[in-house]
Amino acid sequence: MRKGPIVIGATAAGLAGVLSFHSKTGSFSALPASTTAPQHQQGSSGGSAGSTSSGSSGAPASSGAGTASSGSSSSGSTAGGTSAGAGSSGGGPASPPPAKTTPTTTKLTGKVEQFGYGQLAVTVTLTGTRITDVAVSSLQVIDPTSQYIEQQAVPYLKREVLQAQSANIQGVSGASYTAQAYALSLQSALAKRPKG
Amino acid sequence: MVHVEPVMGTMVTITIDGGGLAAEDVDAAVVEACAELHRADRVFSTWTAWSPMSRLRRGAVRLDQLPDDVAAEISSVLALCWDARRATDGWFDPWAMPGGVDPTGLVKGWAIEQAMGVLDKASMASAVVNGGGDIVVHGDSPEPGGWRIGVQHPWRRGALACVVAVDHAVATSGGYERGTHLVDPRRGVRTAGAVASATVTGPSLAVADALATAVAVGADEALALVGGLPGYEAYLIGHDGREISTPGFPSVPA
Repeated sequence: MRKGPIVIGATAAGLAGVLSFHSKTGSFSALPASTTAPQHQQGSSGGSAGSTSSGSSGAPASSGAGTASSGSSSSGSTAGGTSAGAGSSGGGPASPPPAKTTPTTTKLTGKVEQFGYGQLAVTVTLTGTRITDVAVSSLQVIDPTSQYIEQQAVPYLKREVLQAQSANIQGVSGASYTAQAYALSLQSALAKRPKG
Repeated sequence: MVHVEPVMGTMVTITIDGGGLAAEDVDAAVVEACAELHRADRVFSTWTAWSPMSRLRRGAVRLDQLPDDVAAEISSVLALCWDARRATDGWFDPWAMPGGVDPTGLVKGWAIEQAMGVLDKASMASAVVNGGGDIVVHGDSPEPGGWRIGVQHPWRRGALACVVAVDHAVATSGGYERGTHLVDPRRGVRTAGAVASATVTGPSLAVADALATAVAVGADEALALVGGLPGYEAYLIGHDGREISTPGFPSVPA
């Protein structure tokens, strides 16, 4: 039995709050949680053995402008195809030269985080300073809850992260999900952002 | 900072701005707030057979046989339940639950409010405690327009049905969240809810939680009753997508 509560960063609803603190400036450079936490990892089961960083912990794989690095769907363009409406700010319509107006697309992978049913890690795509996609880059589960997590919770959490940037809210009423591992991994991914 | 605590069968998220407080003081307050949540869970959980509440409801113990502080706490929660039952004309009725009196529909909100009480005492500049969508806010909002809370759309996952300006508390109930967990107190049967989603704002999260449960099963009739209570407003989304709210429901532009 663990004694104190676990400090594990933000859950989706929490993220809505965290992100909104910074949405005005467009900078997501300082999640408060990442600066505070003497992050007591989940004490009980098996310790924090799984919490090694999956992605190359060093240099974030910043793909040059315009190249859709192995991401999900869209072929040629940057990751702006996702719902956040990030679009490529400025830049004329269909302008082939990836001039300086095109924001850089960066993919960052967070730590593998334990949760009640297994472990997962997320990869966040940033276009400029906006989060344009969050994908689960690794997911291991130990029971049938996996289906629920994959089909329900993960898409939900992803949209909530994207939504938090646009809706400028401090929480969502009516949401109830096991989300802390997702949020934690996202947080550690964002912590890898290059400064400035 | 943001802290997530698994408790009461859900995730409780505490988002706080300590202002000028030292980080240790903020951490200590969060630890204490979480201890309060776990303590409330131990007393009131109807999922564990040996909690005082479980023993009470199946008649294994009388209230006066419990320790004084526990008995006093249960009494005050049941008193709140009684008020909510009356105010909703029985649409919220812990005494109509199968298996004996069950204050679960109010306890989560109550416990979250207790946790906020701890943070309040520790003089946080601002705080939000969100337990599975039951939310209480405190202090200055990070945005000039006040606290803004999204109401999750019941079937468009990830979409918001609306955004509400919240002074203190907001609770949402509906069958979509965890499947059928509601009981129609007037018929004594489990139900997916007469509406898809019911949201209540007001000065007490415990009461708002109970009222949202009432609107989830009592639909328009319960919503009208909530509208008559000073300080409380309600909003529902029908299974067919219709949306109804009390005249003063504080929805704001998204």
